[in-house]
Amino acid sequence: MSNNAADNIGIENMDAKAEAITLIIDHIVAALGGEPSCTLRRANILIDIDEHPGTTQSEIMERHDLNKSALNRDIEWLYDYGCILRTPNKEDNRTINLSTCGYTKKNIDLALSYFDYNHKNLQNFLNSLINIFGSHKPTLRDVKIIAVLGHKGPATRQAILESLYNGPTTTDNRAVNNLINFGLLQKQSD
Amino acid sequence: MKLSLTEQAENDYTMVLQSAAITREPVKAPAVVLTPVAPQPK
Repeated sequence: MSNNAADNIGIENMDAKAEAITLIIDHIVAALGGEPSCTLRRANILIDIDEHPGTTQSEIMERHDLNKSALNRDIEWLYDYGCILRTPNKEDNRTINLSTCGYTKKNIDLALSYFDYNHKNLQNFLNSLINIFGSHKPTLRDVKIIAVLGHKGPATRQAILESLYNGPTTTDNRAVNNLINFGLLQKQSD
Repeated sequence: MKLSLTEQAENDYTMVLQSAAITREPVKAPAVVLTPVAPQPK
């Protein structure tokens, strides 16, 4: 059912889908401790752990074709922010099992509720967003800017910043400037 | 001065929009956040 779920809302409700996308991104930011500077890759790893409770770092590396040091950084970050639990395996203490917990799990569930609780569909959605950015590794802040403009159309810089996450203005401004430099945003006269 | 998506970004975003397997209408739900709890007196 959910693979053609775009039909469920329907082309005539593209506006509703665009609004849903902004809310989904908000839930993922909340799942990542309210940190919009996280990359979509990190978000995808978190969703993978949620899909496979008790998974190991080696299994994630295989599923996502990631190198060990890059994945280590993401796992450490997720653990430090309280997004995941690390539990020694009962049969092999050298193996650490990973699972999502607390506010992270609840916020991922809120995001998943838009995809019939299908993790793959949520991951496919995030991957399609990543593809918009080409070689640039997008953060959730970058994606939110694109989603807001995609939903509401042209907006002032101030309106864009107000739709973000109350972070430092300099950081938000830098993100907007980067998107202009990457050729994703353009200035237009009123 | 307003900002908008470039034509390429607009096309790419429309593709994302069309392919996203979203199955329900948007409803703004409050995020679940960690609430610090003051230590209780012993």
